[in-house]
Amino acid sequence: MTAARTAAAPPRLELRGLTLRFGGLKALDGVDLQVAEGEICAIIGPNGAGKTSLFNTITGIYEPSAGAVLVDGDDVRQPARQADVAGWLGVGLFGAMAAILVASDVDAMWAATVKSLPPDRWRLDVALQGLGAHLAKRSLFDHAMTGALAFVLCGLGARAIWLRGRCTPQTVALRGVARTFQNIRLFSQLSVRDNVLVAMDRRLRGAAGIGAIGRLRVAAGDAALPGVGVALIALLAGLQATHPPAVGPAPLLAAVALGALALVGIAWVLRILGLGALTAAARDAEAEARREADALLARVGLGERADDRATALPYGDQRRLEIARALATRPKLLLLDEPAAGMNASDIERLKVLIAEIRASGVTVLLIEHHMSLVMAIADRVAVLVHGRGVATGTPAEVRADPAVIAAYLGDEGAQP
Amino acid sequence: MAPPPPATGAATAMRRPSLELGLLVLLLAYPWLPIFDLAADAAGVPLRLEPRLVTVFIYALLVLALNLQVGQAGLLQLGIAAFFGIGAMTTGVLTVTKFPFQLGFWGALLGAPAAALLAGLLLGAPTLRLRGDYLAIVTLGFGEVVRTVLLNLEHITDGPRGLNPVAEIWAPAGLRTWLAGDDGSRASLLLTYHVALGVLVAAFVVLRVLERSRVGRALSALRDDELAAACMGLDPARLKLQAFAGGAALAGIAGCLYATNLTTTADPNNYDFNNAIMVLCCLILGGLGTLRGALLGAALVIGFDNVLSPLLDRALQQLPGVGGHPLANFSAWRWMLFGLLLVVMMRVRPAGLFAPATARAAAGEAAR
Repeated sequence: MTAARTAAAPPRLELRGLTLRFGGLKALDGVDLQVAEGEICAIIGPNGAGKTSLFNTITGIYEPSAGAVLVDGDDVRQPARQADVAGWLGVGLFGAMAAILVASDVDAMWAATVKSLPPDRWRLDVALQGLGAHLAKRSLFDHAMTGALAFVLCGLGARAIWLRGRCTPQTVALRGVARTFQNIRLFSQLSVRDNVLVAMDRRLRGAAGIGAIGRLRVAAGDAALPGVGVALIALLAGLQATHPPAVGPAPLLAAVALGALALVGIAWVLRILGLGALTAAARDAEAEARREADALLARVGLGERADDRATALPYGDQRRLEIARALATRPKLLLLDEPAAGMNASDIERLKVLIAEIRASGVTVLLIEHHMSLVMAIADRVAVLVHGRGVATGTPAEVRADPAVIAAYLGDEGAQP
Repeated sequence: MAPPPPATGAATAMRRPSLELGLLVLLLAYPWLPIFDLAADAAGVPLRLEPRLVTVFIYALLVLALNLQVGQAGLLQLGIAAFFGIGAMTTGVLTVTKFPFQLGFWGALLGAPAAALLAGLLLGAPTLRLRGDYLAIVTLGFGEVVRTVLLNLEHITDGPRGLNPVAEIWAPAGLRTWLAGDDGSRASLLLTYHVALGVLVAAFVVLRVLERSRVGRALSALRDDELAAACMGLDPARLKLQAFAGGAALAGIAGCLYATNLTTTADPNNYDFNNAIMVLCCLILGGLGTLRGALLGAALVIGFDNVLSPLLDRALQQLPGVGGHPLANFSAWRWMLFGLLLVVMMRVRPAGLFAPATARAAAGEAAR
């Protein structure tokens, strides 16, 4: 089944020469691996072989020193899009403007513009003349140098932040890769159900844009910056038109501009604060998510404990909750880091069934495991990692018979026939 | 599949606010209640607390703002006073008669949080990746920088003199008459009192909705385990920046009310590190991460300073045999007593008075 598919489509996960260095230590050294869609692939290896480092590199916690991680044929490190480049340029321009303003003495500039005339006779054109005269005090060359320096620094800074942010756990998660952790990392302050709901947050955030208020919020978010700009210009125009300021209620134009500013601002704050929770659509989405979370919990056998605190669960249940939480992101690829650690025999039997069910639902599974009975029973393919290097790949039976694997586990003498 | 159990959050929301609602009704009605008329001085002039309560409201807003940043988002920040100062100074610039803007209080109520929000975004975007104590140092430095800048931009802020007069709150004449009859200064005071109270209530309600919403849950997960949250698809940088900027904007609103209440932006040295620490103190005393705790902390610390001290002073002065004694002056002793109380508190209730049960348990384990 899987062989036919791999011929047509790129593998679900492909590692190409993945290398991870910590100083002089090579935790991973040119690991190549392909996991086909719908496969259960196990990674085994002695302690310290780099299995968890491999998971951490796949999920974006570490950035690889060399090599690449491809999901469905795409590198998880996104290339720069036009919008990203525009963003760096924008930050650079903003920084350049700010630097020119600061370098030319903001205080004196204020005196030259806002205080150019007494407040009751203040005019925009006089203020602009004052601004021009003030800026002319420094030579064009000085301004250009200040601006260029700030532009380069701010632009490069923005690019550096982008570079660090382009391959992070959340960007990998958005590509449909979910994982569990060897040392359990549940949200201890949250209930069992809320742990699962957090993993659905991305979808719920999208749902907050449904419905009248939701659409308004999204539109406000998109219109916030241009809207604020237009409102500010209107405000300036209003000030110019109405000076000297009238006593009492604000003059009409300024009032209209302030009102527009207020509307955009309030809608934007609502968006920031996530107050879509008040809309019916978001409530429906939340209720739907709760049902889905409860179904997931029932599937892993935790249906009764949805309202308990996550850390109140026994160890084996916490591992199953981690699986439910990872499944809640609706992954294409699920990474399980020693899911059977600390489980007793009957727990492990249930885990086997659960992993088989997960695969049957269309999720590809990559797992690290030391329990060989579990690996041999459910894995389609086994990859062996020793000292950060892929030593062998094959079916469980092939790997078990591979002399290199035996050497790694038992020492060289074990490999002698 | 079993139907989901009734939403416990909604049920408690119906039951719990009764305390807050009662307090709100009392505070709304207070200006017309003769409660503290008892503490009249020798000349029979009653001690009215409205101006002092306004200060409590403003600091409660600040504590709520800091709670959003420190308590909910887990960002230890020591520069809240800078955003407070930016809000106050923006209000001054937008309303005083020496500048051409003169937008009045309601314009400033929009402008001040906008300026503080912008400052929060500019500070937060590059620095929120820093962890714990590093962020604390950065924000501490930011607070000092803002204070020094405000002191030195003499044309804009009037330096240590501060901008004044900041516009008082504009309201239709009919409303002013309805509030206080012909007494103009009392009408202004009551307007400030009720607007500050209204803003505080609005902020409380918004933050409560936020706490119980998807975003509150996400922030809670982020505080627990940032790495795991990121692996579940949450965007830590974005969530933190939103909470930080939101808190900054709220602090800006508090600054706007502060300048309006004083009718001056005052000396920028008012918005210094001491101020930030006092706000943090309120938050920790009340219980980090809880809205009720934030309000209680502000009420206790600022109320102790502004409301209880003068009342006790009056009471002591009127006690026969004690009245004239130079040591019978509670205000002189108040910070000593406050320090002692803090020490006792940290020993007995390290997670704060209103801490959630889980945080109490964690703090208890840590103390043991």
